[in-house]
Amino acid sequence: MSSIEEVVSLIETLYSPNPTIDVNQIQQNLQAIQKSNDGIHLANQLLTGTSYSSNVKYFGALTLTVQLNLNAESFDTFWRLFSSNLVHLVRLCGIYTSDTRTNASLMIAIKKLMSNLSLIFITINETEHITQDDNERIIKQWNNPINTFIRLFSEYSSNPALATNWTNLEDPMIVQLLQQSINCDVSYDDLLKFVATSQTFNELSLTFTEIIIEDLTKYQSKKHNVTRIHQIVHEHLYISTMALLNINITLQLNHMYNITKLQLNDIVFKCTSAWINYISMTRHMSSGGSMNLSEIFQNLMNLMCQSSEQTDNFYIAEKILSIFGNVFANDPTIMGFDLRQQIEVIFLGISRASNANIDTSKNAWMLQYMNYLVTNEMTDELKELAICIVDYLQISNLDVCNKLFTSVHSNDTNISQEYIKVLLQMTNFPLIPVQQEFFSVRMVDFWADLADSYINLPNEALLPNSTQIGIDIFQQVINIYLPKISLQNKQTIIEEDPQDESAVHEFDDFRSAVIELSQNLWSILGNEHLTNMLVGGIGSSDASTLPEDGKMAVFYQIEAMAFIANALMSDMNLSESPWILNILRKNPFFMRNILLLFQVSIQMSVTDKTVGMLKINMIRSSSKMIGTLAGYLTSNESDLSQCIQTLFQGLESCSGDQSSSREINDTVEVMIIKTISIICDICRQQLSGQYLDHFIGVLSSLLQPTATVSSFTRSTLTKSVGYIIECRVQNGPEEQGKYIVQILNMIEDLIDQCLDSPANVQHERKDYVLNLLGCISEFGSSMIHDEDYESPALIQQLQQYHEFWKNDPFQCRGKLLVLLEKILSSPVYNKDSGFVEVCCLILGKALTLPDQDPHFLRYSMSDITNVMLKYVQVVELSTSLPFFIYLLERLVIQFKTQLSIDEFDYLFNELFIKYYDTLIGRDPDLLQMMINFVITVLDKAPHLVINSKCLPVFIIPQCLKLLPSNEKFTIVAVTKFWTKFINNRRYSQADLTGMQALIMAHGQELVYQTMYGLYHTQRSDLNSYTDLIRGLVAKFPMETKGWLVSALPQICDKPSIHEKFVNRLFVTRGSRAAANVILTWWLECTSLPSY
Amino acid sequence: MSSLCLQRLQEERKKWRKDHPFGFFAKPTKKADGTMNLQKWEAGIPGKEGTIWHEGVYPLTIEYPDEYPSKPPKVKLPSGFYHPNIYPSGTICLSILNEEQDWRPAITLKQICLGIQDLLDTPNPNSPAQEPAWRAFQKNKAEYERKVLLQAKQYTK
Repeated sequence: MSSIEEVVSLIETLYSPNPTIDVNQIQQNLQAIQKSNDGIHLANQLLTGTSYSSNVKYFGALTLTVQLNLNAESFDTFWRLFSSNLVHLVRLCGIYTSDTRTNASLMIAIKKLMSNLSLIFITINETEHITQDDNERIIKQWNNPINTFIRLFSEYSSNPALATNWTNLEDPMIVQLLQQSINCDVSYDDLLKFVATSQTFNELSLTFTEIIIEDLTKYQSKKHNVTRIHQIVHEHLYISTMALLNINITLQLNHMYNITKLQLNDIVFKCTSAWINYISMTRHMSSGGSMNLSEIFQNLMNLMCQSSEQTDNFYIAEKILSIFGNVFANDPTIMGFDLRQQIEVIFLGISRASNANIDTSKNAWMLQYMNYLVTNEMTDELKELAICIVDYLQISNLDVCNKLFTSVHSNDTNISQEYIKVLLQMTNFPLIPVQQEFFSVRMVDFWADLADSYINLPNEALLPNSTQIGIDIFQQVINIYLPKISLQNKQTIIEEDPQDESAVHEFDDFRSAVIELSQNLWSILGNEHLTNMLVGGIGSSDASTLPEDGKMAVFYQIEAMAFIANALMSDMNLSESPWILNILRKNPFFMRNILLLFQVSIQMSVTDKTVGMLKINMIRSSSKMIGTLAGYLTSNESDLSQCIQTLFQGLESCSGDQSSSREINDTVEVMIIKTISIICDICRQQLSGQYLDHFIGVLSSLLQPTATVSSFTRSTLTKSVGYIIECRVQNGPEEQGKYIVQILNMIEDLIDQCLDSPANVQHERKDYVLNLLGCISEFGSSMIHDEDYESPALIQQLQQYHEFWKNDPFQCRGKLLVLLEKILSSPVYNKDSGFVEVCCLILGKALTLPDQDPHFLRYSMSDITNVMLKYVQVVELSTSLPFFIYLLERLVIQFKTQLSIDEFDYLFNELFIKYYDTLIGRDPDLLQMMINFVITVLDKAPHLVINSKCLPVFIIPQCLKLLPSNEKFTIVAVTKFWTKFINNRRYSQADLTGMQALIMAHGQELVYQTMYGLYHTQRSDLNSYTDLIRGLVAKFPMETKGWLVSALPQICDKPSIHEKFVNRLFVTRGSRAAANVILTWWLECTSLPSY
Repeated sequence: MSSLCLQRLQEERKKWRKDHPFGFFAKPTKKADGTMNLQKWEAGIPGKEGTIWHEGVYPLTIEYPDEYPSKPPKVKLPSGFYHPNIYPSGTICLSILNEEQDWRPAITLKQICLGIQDLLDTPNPNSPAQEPAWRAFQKNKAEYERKVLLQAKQYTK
């Protein structure tokens, strides 16, 4: 063993700021000594050495912890550890007390020893075998470590001359003293006398009880069957601690017992909090009733109200409110009803129960405290207070609701009304939310919950005038919040500290919470009292006539109202809401002011971050509102015209705005184009007249390569124009066709210009071409109707449209096909899978449509197959094959009745088999796609697979080979293929016969490969094989049994396991049971443990 | 709905309102009669800043079974959502949402939402749920990023 000095040196090195030796190595060496049988001896030496530093002493205490956890099985060792901890604790406390400043660093070792004793306290009182042991020396219960500490420390302090004895753990006097102290009694007077001796004695006692109870709380949260110790704590430690805490809390209140040496210290609050947490956690599990905290709470409340600016700058109030806040947030009912009523009076100056005998002076104290916080701009403390008060209010939310709205309580309604008035005032704290006050922010939850409770009240319980009461209250709530969520406040918040994003985020969250609240309140206030108010607020006067000075303030108000109105109206179908339509019509400035808000925000010059953020907020609110109003615009053409014009102006200024950053412009552009798209979709009928040419003109300019708009804007606008053209059906297919051709020509010409440019095209040019092709695809999508779409004009002329697009007199498809082929044949483009993808999307656009639906992109089967077959050879197949497979899959589904077996075989050969060895077979992703394609065809048109010549010569052999694959995804696909192949409800009788013949021919191999694959696979992939094996057993029971009996011995030589497996498999029903049988076989064969 | 389920969902709502990550939202839906349906929530997950997802807030539906919290909620993005670990139906393939994997009753809504936000930018290639996004993520990052960026614009904040 190393010498003690060597160990000390290692410890000092370990804890030095820049250790010269490898720390890991030191730790390993020291840990080895700590865990050894010499650990206790070492700890004692380290703790008693007078010259050793606090780090060394701490390490000694830590060594006792290690020994407690590892070597405390026999009682003798346990007692050695117990007594060592006690003796060292008392002695170190003695040294610490003699000069707390000089010996302050000792506290770390003292706390560790206290923590060791708390572990011993838990161990003794919770360990069953100790309580059952007959050995009388064994300590079966340790009632109260605080009493033990007081007894021993009093003894130590009273005989300074004997202090040296406390280094000798074998000293008979010490041993006897220890034994006597374990379960000694300490009277209240002795306790008081002890802590009154000095502030240090007091603090050490508080620290010890805090450490014990924190450890016990942690221990309880890890182990749920702890029960016995709580009873012991309740009967002993709780009583001492409550006495200790109450002495400390009431010190300043009545100067009891003339204790002059003690001062109120943070430890008191920390200890109180730790005890509240413990009692809260255990109060529902203790059989002996819960530990009462009323006296503590009452004393804390009294002490809080004594705190003032003059005495302590409200420091104590802050500490106590933090304790109450914790109680109200986590376990409010731990505080009794009477105490909560007192708190109510302090917080609000009013009581729900009665206004008689209320001590309003206590509320005056609260107002002083709030005033102090506001005056000194102590926003964090104000926030804490708001959280505490609102958490408190939430406890009685339901009670407030019942008293306000129901006849359940025979209460004085005036009190409830007064109460609500106070809460409304509190919500309307006249400062900026988030930045200066937090009451309005937290009160959102209170009002939302009150609204929820009100909505859920049964009708028969409601007061006759409850509706009116609700309207009165909740209208006031909305009126309070409207100015609170104004962007003017956000502006102030950002300007206060532009770098502090958290405050801005909090304000944004606040606005979202108010939206949620408004949606709740709508259920009570309805359109009449909420939507009307907002629409009226926005549209009652003309904002365009406002003087410059103060104009923005009004727009901020409009924005706030639009922000909420949009959330309410976006869930309504406005074109079918006569009420809303009527209100909108009655407020002639509504639409105009919304558009004005949009225009003003578009024109805002982004000079700094603040303006940028506000601009985005304002455009978001106004553009969303315009989009939401689309249903209204269907019946208001002049407003529609204004909206379209304004939105396009916005789009235009966006691309020309040099003051804003690219990021802001991009965001604004997306918001505007999405609004345009919504309007085009919903108002397509109204726009299909005179507006269409205007739209095409705008599209034409934005499609140009010089237009500085995003690809998203181009494709979205193309789709939007498509919506309008789609609706232009009344004059027959030719007119609509001309528009379609016009758009296609426009895009094709632009693509052609690019294709004609030099071969070494730039990256931007390629992106542009890809974007234009995407526009064609989106244009095609816009011509596809929803399933429930009905256009009487189209239905009347359906046959003509069908014929028209069948003949395609304008050669749309042909011309586009030529263009697509140009792309696919160009080495510049065909190596980029993005171009292949979009070409496939265009070609396959109409493949999912019902036969009777006309569409300008309805390509024939031969058109599509020719393109695939021609270009599969030139494109970069490793990345582009998936798109051909996607197209082929849609093609087969659409033309399943026209496609012959030979054609299928030819396509399969050209697209898969030809590239199998060189590409597909080597790439698990492509392999999976190929197998999935076969599975899809098996599902949609099984005859094509069953009768395919590729099946016996390629598909079956490859799928047999792939069964024992190492690749998870291949296993999943191939087992799914075989499962589908064996068990397919879509088979005709002929298909079924064909499949059975193939299985009979390949069954033995199939079973062998399946079981071989299963045997060699990972446990996580076993389930992939289960369905296949179940399918074989179900469809070919007799044969499969024989195939298994023959195959299994070839896989591994475990006949009894195989026999058991086969026997169990054939009597098992259900997927889970079969999976268990298979798992058991796999585990037994591989000799792996089950877990 | 069991009382345990109801109690836990009320607790989840309270916790969420008091403390949720910035930019996220989550709220119970309303029944036809205007009362709250605590078993079905709608939520929004913002893409992480500095990633290709950041432009969007992605809508979620969260359905809590009667057996919650013993069983996990079913969390869905819109059908057709482009992500390697989202099924074509929109169902999210995430171990903490799987009863047989990492679901624990102590998992909160906040953890679920943050888990999904994390999943958006760090897909798990070993757990593919849809072919197109999974393949592009593995083989063609340019295509994957282009589509994610486009999707973000569709769900722009």
